[in-house]
Amino acid sequence: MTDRGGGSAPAGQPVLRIRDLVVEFDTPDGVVRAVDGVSYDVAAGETLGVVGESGCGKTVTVLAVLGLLPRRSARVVRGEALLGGMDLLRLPPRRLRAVRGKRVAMVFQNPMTSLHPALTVRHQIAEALRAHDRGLPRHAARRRAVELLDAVGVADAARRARGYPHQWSGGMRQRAMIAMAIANEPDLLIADEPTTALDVTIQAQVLDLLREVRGRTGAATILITHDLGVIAEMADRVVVVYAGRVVETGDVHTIFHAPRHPYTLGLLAALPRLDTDRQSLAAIPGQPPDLVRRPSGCAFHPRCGLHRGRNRCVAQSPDLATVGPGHRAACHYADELAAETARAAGMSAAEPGDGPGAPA
Amino acid sequence: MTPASHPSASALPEGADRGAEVLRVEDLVKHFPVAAGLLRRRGSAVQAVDGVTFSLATGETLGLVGESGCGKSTVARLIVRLLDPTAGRVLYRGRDIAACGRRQLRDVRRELQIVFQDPYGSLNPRRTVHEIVAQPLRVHDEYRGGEGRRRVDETLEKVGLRPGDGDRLPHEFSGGQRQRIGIARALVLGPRVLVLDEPVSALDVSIQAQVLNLLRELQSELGLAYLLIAHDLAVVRHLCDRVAVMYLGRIVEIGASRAVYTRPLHPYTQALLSAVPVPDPAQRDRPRRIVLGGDVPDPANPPSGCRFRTRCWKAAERCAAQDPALVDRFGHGHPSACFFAEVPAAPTTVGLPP
Repeated sequence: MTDRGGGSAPAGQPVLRIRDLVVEFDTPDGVVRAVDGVSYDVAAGETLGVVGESGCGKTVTVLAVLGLLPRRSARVVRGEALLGGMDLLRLPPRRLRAVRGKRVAMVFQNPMTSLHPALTVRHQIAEALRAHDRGLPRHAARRRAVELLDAVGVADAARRARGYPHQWSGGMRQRAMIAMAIANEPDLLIADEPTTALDVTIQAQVLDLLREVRGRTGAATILITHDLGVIAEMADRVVVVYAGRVVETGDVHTIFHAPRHPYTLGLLAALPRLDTDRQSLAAIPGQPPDLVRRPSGCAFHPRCGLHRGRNRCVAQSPDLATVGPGHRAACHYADELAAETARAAGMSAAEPGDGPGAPA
Repeated sequence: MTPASHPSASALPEGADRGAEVLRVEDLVKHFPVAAGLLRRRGSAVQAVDGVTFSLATGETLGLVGESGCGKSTVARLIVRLLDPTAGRVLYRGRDIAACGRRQLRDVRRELQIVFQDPYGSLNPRRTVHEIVAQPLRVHDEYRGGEGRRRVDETLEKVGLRPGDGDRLPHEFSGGQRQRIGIARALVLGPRVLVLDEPVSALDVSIQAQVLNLLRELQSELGLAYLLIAHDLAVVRHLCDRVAVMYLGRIVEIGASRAVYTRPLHPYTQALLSAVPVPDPAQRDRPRRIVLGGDVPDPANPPSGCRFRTRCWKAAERCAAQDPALVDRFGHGHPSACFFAEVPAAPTTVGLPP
C-alpha cells in the first residue's frame, strides 16, 4: 500500500462535521424521531467512537449522512453533514454516489450481506476500484485487488481472491470488506459494529487491522459500536448517544474515568468485568424509551438515579454543555455526578482485586 | 420479591444438598454426518463434541465458554436431549438421560430445563405470556384450574413481571422482558438445573445487567444449578463458580473461575482472555496481548493430536502426534489439556491493580 497522496485533510482538521441532524421515520405507531439534533465532528487521523444501545440512532445518523436511509419511510428533517465544503445531505444522488466508496467508505457488521454471493471477492474489489476510476484497466484493478487483500492480511491472497464469499470465514470476509473500503484511499472510514459478528480472537485480529489501516492511511474513522471494550481499545474521542441525542462527548479517558452523564456512568457500572469476581451489577432500571412516546424533558429521566423527582428533568430537555476541556454533557445536574464519580473511583481503587497467588 | 407460597421456596429443593453432584456428563460425543459431496469423503462427520466430561453440583454455576463452532451449544442440547449423543452419558442424579424412555425423560425434564438465547424466536408470538409459561405445566398435566393459574402468576412475579402481564403477547415486551418470560417458562415446573444457552447475548448492556442479577437472585433463592453457555467471557466470570473452556469439541481447561481467569494454563485460554477488549482506555497498550493467527479449523477435519496446535505458538512435533489429556498437571485441581501448559508467572487477567 502506498502512502496517501494529497487530498486528505491535515491531521486535526475536521473531515466531517455533522450539525443538528434530525431524522424521522414513519411507522405504523406514528412518527419516530430517531435522530434528534445530533452534532459531532471527526478529524483526520482520529477515531471517533460512537456508543449507544440498539435503537438509539447511532447507525441512522451515518446512514442519513451517506444517503442510505429507506426513502419511503425516512426523511432528514434538518441538519448539515459537511465533508470539506460539501453538504452531503443536499448533494444530488449521483454526486453522493461518487463520494460514497471514494472519499467516504463503509464497513458494516455483517460482511456476508455486503458482499455479492455469486461474484468472486477479487472481482468485487476490482469493481469497487473501477467504479471510481473508469480509466483503470481490468487486469490492473484485479492485481490491485490482490495487493489490497494481501495488505489486510489475507494469506495466499492471489489464490483465495478467486474464491467466493461463502468460501471465506467471517473474519476473512470482514478483511475483504476493509480491503474494499480502503481501496480508494478514503478520507473517512465509517465502521458500524465491524467486529460484533466475530469471535473474540478474530475480533482482536480485525481491530489490529483497523488500527494499522488508520496509521497507514491517516483517514478519519467513525467507529460505531455498543461494545464499550472496543471503544476503550480504539477510540480517541467518544460520543455517547441515548434516544436520538448526544448525551455526552469527550476524550476517551475522560469518558471512561470521569463521565458526567448518568447514562454513561450507568453503562459503565452495568458492565460485567473480566477482572472482578461475581458480584451484583448496577443495572440501569427500566427499559430503553419508546421513541413514539418519548419521555418529556430529558429522555433518560425515567431511568435516572440523579433525577430524584426533580421537575427540571421532566420539564426541560438539557442542552449539551461544556463541563471540562473538550468534554460536554447534556444533564442538568452534571455537577452532582462529578462528586459521585470521584467517590466511586476512590472506592474501586481501595478495593482489593484478585491478589496474585490466589489459591487455584 | 415475595417467596412462593410453599414454605420450602427459599430453601433448596427437597433431597438436595448444596454441593452434591446433580448432573454429570461422561465422555460425551456428538458427530453430525456430512452429506457426501465433491470435496468430502463419504462418511465424514463434523465432530461437534468429542469426548467432553464434567459435573455440576447443586447451587453451582458452571460456565462453558468458547468461540463459535467449539461445541458448547451442542453440549447444551445433548444435556436436555434435544439431540441424541453419538456416544457417552449424561447422568442426571445418576440416571442416564440418553438411555431414558419417553416417560422417564418427562420426569427428568421437569427438573432440567433450558433457556434459549433468542427471546424473539423462542416465544410463540400468538400465545399470551400466561399461555407460554403455563405450557410446561400442561405438558406435564399439572395445570389444573385456579392452582395452575396461581403457579403461573407466582412464577411471573418471581422473574420480575406483573401477573397482569400474563394477558399480553410477547411482542408487547422489550428484549429483556421477553428473556424474563423465557426464564419463567423454564422455572414454572420447579427445576433443579437450568441450562442457560447464551441467555443475555441478544440484550443491551443496561438490560443484560438486569437479567444477570435476576439469574443470581433466583439461584440463591431456589438453590438452582446453572450450566451457562456463553461466548462473553466477562458475563461468564460474573456468573460462574467454575469455568470450562472449549475448543473444537473438547474441553481444554476447567477449574474455579478465579483460577482460570487469573492463571489460565492452556495457551488457548491465555489467548482468549488476552483478546477480550478491556473497557478501560488506560489499558489499551497493555503488554501480554496474544493475537492468534488464522481461523478455527474445519471440525469435519480437525488437526491430529492437539486440536489447537495449528494456531498455537507453543506447538511442537509431539502436539501433532499425541492428544494431550485433560489432567490436573500442577495439583491445583485445575486440569488443562496441553503438554506445555504453564502457570503464568503473574496473574494474566487484565485489569488487575498493579
